[in-house]
Amino acid sequence: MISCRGELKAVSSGLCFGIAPIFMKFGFWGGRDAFYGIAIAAGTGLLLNLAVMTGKDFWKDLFLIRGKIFLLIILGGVANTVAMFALYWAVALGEISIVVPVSCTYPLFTIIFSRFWSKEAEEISKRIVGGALLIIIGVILIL
Amino acid sequence: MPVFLSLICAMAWGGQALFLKASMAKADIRHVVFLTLLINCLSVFLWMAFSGRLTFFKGVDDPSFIHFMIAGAFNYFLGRWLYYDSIRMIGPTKATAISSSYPVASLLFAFLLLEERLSMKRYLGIGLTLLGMYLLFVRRRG
Repeated sequence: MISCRGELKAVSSGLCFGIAPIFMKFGFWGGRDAFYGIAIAAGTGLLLNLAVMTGKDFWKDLFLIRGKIFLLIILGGVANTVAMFALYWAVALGEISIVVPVSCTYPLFTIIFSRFWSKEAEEISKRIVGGALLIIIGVILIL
Repeated sequence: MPVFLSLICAMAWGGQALFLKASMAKADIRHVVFLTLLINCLSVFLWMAFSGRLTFFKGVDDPSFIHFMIAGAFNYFLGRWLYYDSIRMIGPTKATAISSSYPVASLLFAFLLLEERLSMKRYLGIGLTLLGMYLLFVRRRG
């Protein structure tokens, strides 16, 4: 039997990302600022991570991360933060019906960037590009 | 300007997956999740401090606080762990494509919890998204 654990984890992450806005919406009904919600949500995530993952040698190993790997992690975190702020300002300045579908095209950028990223980059088949395109078109129709 | 900012957002999310995949080849996923979340939190709290929004935290007893915490548990804890692990296991292109279908989940939860109605266009969107996910799940034989 072929294992689909990675794919199932990606689907599960989509379910988690999908249910979170429902609770954010409940929170915004109280008239709260979007950044207040993001700050509490991100802070809660950080505290839960600290509570669960800081097992044996976590801190010792953390301070051993250096050089290129450390830079890559920082770039990942900064890219996520840039995306978060850009989305916030885009929503503040424009229509959600335009902003959200455009921001949902990010898998296409992963495909494009991965072509230039590394010679050992994963194989990108027509099936993967087609699947990603169908998902993006489907999401645009939903929003 | 909003479209340009949305494109910046998409490019940053798209590029992030590649940085994460490369870093998790050698670093422990626990450290990657922790450090990226730390950067997110510090940026948000610094921005709030500079823009004078930290006063919002006076109302920690209001019910919206609990809702934001639950959202954080799903998005920044469970969701992030699963997303990063899927990037590590199946690669960034497949993982980002599959997890980008999250509006379908939002729609289904909104339908179940908020009793929002589904139009024909949305049914079509769900169908196309599921078809796209099927294509990503199917593996080549041979």
